[in-house]
Amino acid sequence: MVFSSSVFLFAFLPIVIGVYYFANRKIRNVVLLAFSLAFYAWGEPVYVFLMIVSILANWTAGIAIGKAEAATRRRAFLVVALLIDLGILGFFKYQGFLADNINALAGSTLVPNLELPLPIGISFFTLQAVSYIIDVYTKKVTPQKNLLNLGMYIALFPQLIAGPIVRYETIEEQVNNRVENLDDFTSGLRLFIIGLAKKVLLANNVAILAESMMNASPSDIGFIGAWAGIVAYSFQIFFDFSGYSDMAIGLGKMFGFKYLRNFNYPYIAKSITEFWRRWHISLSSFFRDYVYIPLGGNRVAKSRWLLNIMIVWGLTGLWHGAAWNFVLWGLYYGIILIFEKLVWGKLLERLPRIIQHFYVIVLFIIGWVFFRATSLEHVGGLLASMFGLHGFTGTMTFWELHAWEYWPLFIICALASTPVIPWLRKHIENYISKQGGGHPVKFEAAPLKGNEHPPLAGLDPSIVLATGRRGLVFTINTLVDIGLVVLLVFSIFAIVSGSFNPFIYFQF
Amino acid sequence: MLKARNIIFIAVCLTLFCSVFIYKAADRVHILPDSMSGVTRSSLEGRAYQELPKLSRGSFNKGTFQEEFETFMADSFPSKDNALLANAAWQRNMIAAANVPFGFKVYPTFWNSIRLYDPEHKQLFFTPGKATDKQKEIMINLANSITQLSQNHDVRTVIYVPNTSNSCSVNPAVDYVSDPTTMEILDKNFFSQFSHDKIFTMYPRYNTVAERQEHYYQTDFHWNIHGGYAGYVEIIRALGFEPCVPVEALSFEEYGLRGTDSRVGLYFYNDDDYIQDLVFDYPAFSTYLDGEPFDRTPKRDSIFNDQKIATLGYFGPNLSSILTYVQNVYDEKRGNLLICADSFIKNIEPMFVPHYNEVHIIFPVEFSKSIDLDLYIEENNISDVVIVGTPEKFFGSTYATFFSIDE
Repeated sequence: MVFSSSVFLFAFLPIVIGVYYFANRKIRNVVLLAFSLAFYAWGEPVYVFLMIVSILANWTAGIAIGKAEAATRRRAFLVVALLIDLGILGFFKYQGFLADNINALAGSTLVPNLELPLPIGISFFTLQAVSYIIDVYTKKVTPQKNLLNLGMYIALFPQLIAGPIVRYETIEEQVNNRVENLDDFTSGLRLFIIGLAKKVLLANNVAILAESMMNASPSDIGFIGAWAGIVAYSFQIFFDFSGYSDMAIGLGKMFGFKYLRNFNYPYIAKSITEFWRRWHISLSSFFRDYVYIPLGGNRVAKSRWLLNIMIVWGLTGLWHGAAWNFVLWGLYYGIILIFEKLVWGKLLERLPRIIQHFYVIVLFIIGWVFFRATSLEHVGGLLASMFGLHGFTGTMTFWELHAWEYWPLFIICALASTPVIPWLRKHIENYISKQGGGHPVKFEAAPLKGNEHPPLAGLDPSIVLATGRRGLVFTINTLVDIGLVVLLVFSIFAIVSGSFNPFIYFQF
Repeated sequence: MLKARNIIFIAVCLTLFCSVFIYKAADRVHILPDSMSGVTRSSLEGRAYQELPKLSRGSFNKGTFQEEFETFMADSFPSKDNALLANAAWQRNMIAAANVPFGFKVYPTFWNSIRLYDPEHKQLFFTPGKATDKQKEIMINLANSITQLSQNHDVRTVIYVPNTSNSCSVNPAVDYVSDPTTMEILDKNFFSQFSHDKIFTMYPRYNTVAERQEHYYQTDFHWNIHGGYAGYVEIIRALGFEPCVPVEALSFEEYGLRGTDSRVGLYFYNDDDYIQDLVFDYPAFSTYLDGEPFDRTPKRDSIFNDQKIATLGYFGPNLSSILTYVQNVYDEKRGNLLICADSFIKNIEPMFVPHYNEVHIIFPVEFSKSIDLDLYIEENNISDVVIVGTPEKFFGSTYATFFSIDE
């Protein structure tokens, strides 16, 4: 089941909200677990049992690690649990890839490709389980003794199938003792609507152009088509994924969970290093904390450090998909990051901001070529078109490319990729504060730390207390809410229209 | 105040999330207006709404239950057709804004739509298809088959190709795409193949959109009754007859036409486009479908409905069996006519009746049985053959397959 579906919006969501809030607080986790399993079973009627096996294995391993005194026993239980988690992921996600490559090297079919369908969300819930088991091992968290509570953590429907990767330590306290309240519920609902609109109104519509251009032969679409297609894809993947994360975080909030933000306006980054602090934060921090640092991080010899970076980025690429273009995409970023650290990082910092932004935009757009292309030949063809080797519009006419239809949407997407709304909000708050004799609000549109709470829609209500401008604040906030309802209505219209509705991150 | 604002916001959003439940409940207790009550069919999508699917382990494991339930929930959204139109409308407005600096005369009715809108003439067009070498090959083979059929039975054959919106020269998009499938290509690759003196080929020509609009609907790709009549006049004159003259013109201006292009293109306006019909003083005739009596009179029920929306269902459906018009009084001087056509024939079918004892009509696209055309022409004493179809029928394999001759 996907959030942007009629079943979710008109059946699952109202029912789960109703049952959850009418249920006794003691059984609310059970309610969430039951609905989460139903949510998963809706799309994966068979693989839901795989997830139940994963829950049981990690619960047992967590208890065993927690009870074991000797370090060797603890380590043995950890290894077994990781083998189970990564074994399941490896088997279902990479069996075909491995088989194909082994057979290609051998020149005959040594290993059959089982062509297993990929269980939805396996990459996400497996990493959550891995983070839990490692955190139990390192004693960051205490083992969850209640099987149903751990099951709810691993299977919790908001982040189950496309993240963010919520670490157990983030919500350990909330699993047992969370408090739901009206403010959080409303704030979560607003964030959910923003995410839904990002997905349905922006990502899905630019996706039409992206799909059309990326599925065409690069020589047919030429310079304009290739650039329009890859820019559309850049917006698609950002609004698709960040929209999903917003919806997940918003839904979590509606049920009393406080997840960390997963995106922090990555397209405004001024270096690729910064880009990856802003993009899919839960994944990059997972690889940093559970792969890079255990490998020694940067506290090793330089050659080993470089190897560590390449291992992490190779794995990051491979996590996104069992294909060489994903590995190349990961290594591409690994190489850029190494160069930023060793060669041009300092120079980049001294350049004008506009050049820094240009540098990042060009690099991530080329990165998406590796990511989106269907083969290495396709990568070559697209890059050739982007550099004008297939003419201005290829074999098609400018009209026929249909790229011209999207430029207003591109402008909206470009604006929505920047913190223009928080910027506007803070300026209005500053204006009101000054009018009311209060102090200007400190403004940091897109903080770098990456774990700040996503902003609420509307003005900070506390400003009323400071300034007494109740009417103005109320009016602006009401207008914001009306705007959000309009976004929701149009998102619903798009969903019931059965518009183009792919979720990119489902394939991971 | 903040609490009140939050509660109102939640209430509005939850009402929207519960809209399907609320709508279904309201329908059950009969408090909805008639236009929203008991709606089981989408006039826009031209299909019955999905009913609540039955759950079984098999259907759930296969995912068919989930798919049908998703459709059921979407179909159950109140006034769904209007949601579709609103969704397309904002997209069309964005496209119209995008078009300002370029000034293209037509643009898609929504993103990814192949229907195009010409705002100057309020005309919907189709995106032209792409001409390929394969099409040329198909057309040459088809021309050979038709020539052979005509020669084998010594029948006169008229091929008439209505000027549909995707291939007509007045469609501005013909100039916007590379290698469009135009009437000129049909002329060059298909019509030019015929040298037999009993085969006549023709298609209407228009110089402007306005001129074409006199013969074609604005919201549908079909010709209107005037376009059909003009086609009939050309065909029947080629066969050596004087055309019938209408005695009355009917016009249903108060019922806006929701044509196929407007439905599929999700752009509906009903002010300028409406159904017209012509009345003739026909000799008495009977109609049969596969030999059984069959009513082929226009379906005025589809005009006179409560919503004041008309569809071209008025002229009846395409049929999968052979339709025959038989004059009640036999005259040995008259021959029999075989028409192989697509939906364009429907509004002019009876006009051929006064000139023949029998008019046999086959819709090759819908025809569900196998037929030996040679045998059929022999057995039914067919003297003339009329082939009517959009250019796509000749570019594609539909007619090529139907007329193919076993060597």
